[in-house]
Formats: sequence, structure tokens, C-alpha cells
Amino acid sequence: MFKNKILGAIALSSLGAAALAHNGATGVVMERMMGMSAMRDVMKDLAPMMQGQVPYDEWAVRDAATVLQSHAGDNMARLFPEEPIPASSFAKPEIWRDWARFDELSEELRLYAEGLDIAAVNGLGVPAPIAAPASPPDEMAGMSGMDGATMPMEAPLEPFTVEVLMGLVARADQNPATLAATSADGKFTGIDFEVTAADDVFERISQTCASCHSLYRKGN
Amino acid sequence: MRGLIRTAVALSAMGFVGIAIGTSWPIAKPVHLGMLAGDAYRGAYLARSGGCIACHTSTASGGAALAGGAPLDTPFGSFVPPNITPDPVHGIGDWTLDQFAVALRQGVRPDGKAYYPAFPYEFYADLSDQDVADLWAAIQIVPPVPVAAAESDVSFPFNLRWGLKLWRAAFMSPAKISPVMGKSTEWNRGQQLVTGPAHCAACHTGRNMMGGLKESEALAGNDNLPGGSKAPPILAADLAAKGWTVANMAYALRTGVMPDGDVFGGGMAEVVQAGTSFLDDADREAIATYLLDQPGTPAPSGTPVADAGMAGMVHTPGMQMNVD
Repeated sequence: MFKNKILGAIALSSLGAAALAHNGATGVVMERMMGMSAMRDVMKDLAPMMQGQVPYDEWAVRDAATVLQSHAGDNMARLFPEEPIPASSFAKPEIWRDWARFDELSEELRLYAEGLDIAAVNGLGVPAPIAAPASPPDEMAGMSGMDGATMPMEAPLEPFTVEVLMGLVARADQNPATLAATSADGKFTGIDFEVTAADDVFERISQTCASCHSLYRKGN
Repeated sequence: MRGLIRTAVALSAMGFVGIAIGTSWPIAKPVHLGMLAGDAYRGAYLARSGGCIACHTSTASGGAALAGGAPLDTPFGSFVPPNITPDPVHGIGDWTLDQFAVALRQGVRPDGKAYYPAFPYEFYADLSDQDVADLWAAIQIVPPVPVAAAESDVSFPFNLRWGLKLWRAAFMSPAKISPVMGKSTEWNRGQQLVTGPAHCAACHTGRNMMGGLKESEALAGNDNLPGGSKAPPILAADLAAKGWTVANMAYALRTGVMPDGDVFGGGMAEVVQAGTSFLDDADREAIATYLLDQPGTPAPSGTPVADAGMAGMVHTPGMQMNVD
């Protein structure tokens, strides 16, 4: 079933690529757009599974990890030769001004995709014990503007310390099992994927994507 | 000729009088928080919710917490978020709690001058005294950094700070958030975050030529963000049309993964990484619940919305919220 989806995604990517070609994307630009589209499609399929909204399927996750690996690391980096950026491209010139960081993120994505393949067998982790104030004691108590009360944000359990919230300590240092594996200086740190939940690795992948997009992709 | 000279002199005199009035026009309303004790944890959570950490810390360049942020390039100039560590010289260590409250909620510096709206104080206007005290307590745990942030580079005539008093009179729209009866606690919490400290409208609402928010276009998107990027509309119908639900939006605010599988980039990636990913699940769901069921925009069919927690209560006009 999921393999059919993968094949479908590839077919759709091809169609998308054709459309992009009509928009002026050709050659290496079109090739990397195809790669990004393929990764987007598997992320779309995996996200509901990682949230527990659809049944978890280890082999589907492994297939998806294979797709991600095939578009990451050197396979991604080689698609970004330094050249004038055509109008059809979303790439920002910062990629080449800061090539080492871009290359590092490409490799980080490959490592996480590889890790997802390893961690797939572990399934989903236990939800983090993040308890939040679902409701204040009084329905309308705690609303600003009502009796000068304060924002209702006290949580019985504190997922992050004050130091982490204030940016004094990187959260990866506090809680490496559930959050980004990038340390304060942005360097990749080792993780034992054999004991890591698949959804944890998936979130790391999404954070790597977001880091790269925020630095090197035009628009949101 | 003589008439022309008289007119020029008269206009000059009026100009000087105008400037004199503008510079001496007091804009801060006094507050008296006294020695109100704050809770550092709540303040730290609010600092994340409100973007204080994201804006005043230059994470990309490895800057110290709250020691000054990355420049915000706008058509009016480049604004550098200042050092707000407790350093008494280069930060805000010599401020009183009352001065901090006026700066945060009213946008007025301790010397009586106005802040530029690049500092989104309008969205903090409805924070309670306790919220302010909590934030103040959280800032005190940050190591002081004895280095000033770079100066902002604002072009003429916008560098004449007294002109901001005129801007405030014409365009300032401080948040005034009232709970809406008939809506759930979750929805009201979402309203509080979206229209208050999370200041979604700062990017997702268009601005006029003078940088004032277009209230009639609240959350309808902004194609002219600093740096040339765009913020899409986040009205309920627009969100539903793109496949957003409460569940996938809450997930996106934690991970950045959108319903189509793409991952946020640009400013929204930063919002998630430095802000909403630190919030608790209930708050992310509250934000999504509110955005997908905003007042004045009918909830699209099939969109999960908050349950009507106080359905028996009358939805009176007096309890309507201020959307900005």
C-alpha cells in the first residue's frame, strides 16, 4: 500500500517537475525541485503516522527513510553548483556564501534519514509528559482584562527549565531524547538510533528541514 | 515678495512650535507595580510566547541570551533589538519594574521617548501587572552582558523619534483582549495568545505606508515583510482551504511540518524553532483552535472547532474581542 503511495509520489513528482519546467525550471534546478517534492510527499504521508492519527507501519517508515536518504547528503549538495540563480529557483545566495553550513545540514538530513530507517522498528515513543493547563479553575478566570488576572500558563509539569526557556541552555542539552540534536553551536551530535523512537527521529528531520529552509530558501 | 517671506516665517514658526509640542508631549501613563514579586518560570514561558528571546538574541551568530538580536530591515531603516540583559549600563539593569512595565505595555522608554513599532509593544498592552512582574523576574536570571547592541540605522525623517508621538496618535492600536462568552476556555486562551503576546498579526497583517497595522485586514496576509518575504493569510477560511486542522496546526507549531508535507522556512521557521516549539501542547492547540474559528469569519464546514464550553451564556457585544 505504502509502496504504491511512494510510486504515486514519484509519478506526481514527475508531473510536478514537468509543471516546474514550464515555469522555467530546467536542468539542475528542476532536478533539485523534484528531490524536494519527493521529500515533501513522504513527509506528508509520515506526519499523520508520527502523530498516531493513522496506524504505524514500520515498513512504510523504512521506505520513506530510503526516499529521504536518496535526496540528502552528497546527493543534495551536488545539485547546488555555484551558479547564477534563475528566477524559477527558491535558492538563496547564502547557500554558497555559507557552503559549509549548508553541506552540514545536507549531511545531517542524510544521517537522520539513515537513523529513521534504524529507528523505524522502535515505533512511536511515549508522549512527552508535557502537562498544560487545559483549563484554569474558573472558566474565565485568568483572562487578561478580567479582574486584572494573569495569563493562565502555569503547568503542573515543566517541560523546559527557566534556563532553557530564557535561551541560556540549549534544549538539546537538557532533553536530547526528544528534541533537536543540534547543539548550541549547530554541530551534529551522535544519537543511538537503535533506542530512539521513530517519531523523535522524524521531528529531528523536520527541524533540519526547517533550519535549512529558514537560512537558504526564499519565502516561507 | 514680502508676503512670501512672512508666510515662510510663519510656517517655520509653526514648525518649531509643532516640534516643541511634539518633543514635550508626555505619552507615558504612570504605573505603580511597586515591589510586586514575579515568578521566573512563568515569565520565562511568557518570554518565549512573546518572542522576547527570539528577537533579542542573535542565535545565528551565537550571541548571548537577550544581549541584542539580529537587525530587522524595514523600509524605514534597520532596527537592532537592544541588549535587555540586567547589565546596568548596556542593558536594562538600572530600570525599575515600573519603567519596564511602561516600556513593555506602552512602548515608552524610561527617558519618555517612544519606541518604534518594530518593537511590538502594542501586542503586550494587555499583559497584567503580574505578567510584567513575571517577565521582569525571568530577565533577572540572565547574566548581564556589558556590551551594547549595535545602533539601529533609521533613515531621515524617521530617525526623528519625536515624530513617533504623532505615529502613536494616528496608528497605535494596543491590544485589548476580552474573553468571549460562548467560546471554550481553549478558544479564549488561543485568542489571548494570538492577539496578545504571540503577536501573529505583526507579520500576518498588512501595514500602511507608515507602518501602522491595517485593522480591516487583520491576519489577511502581508506581502511586504522586512527582507522582502511574505506572510500568508491566516484567516479561518484560508487555513481550512489549505488543509489546516487544529491537530495538524498544533503539530506544525511544534515541528514545522505543514499539511502538504513541506516544512516551514523563513520567518515562520524561526517562530517555531525559537518560540512555539517551546510552548506546551495545550497552548499550541489553543492557538490553532482560535485561528480556525476566528470571530467575523464563519468556520468552514468540516473544520474542527472548539466546543462551545459556555453555550448557555449570552454572546454579548460587550464581550467581543479586539482582533488586533
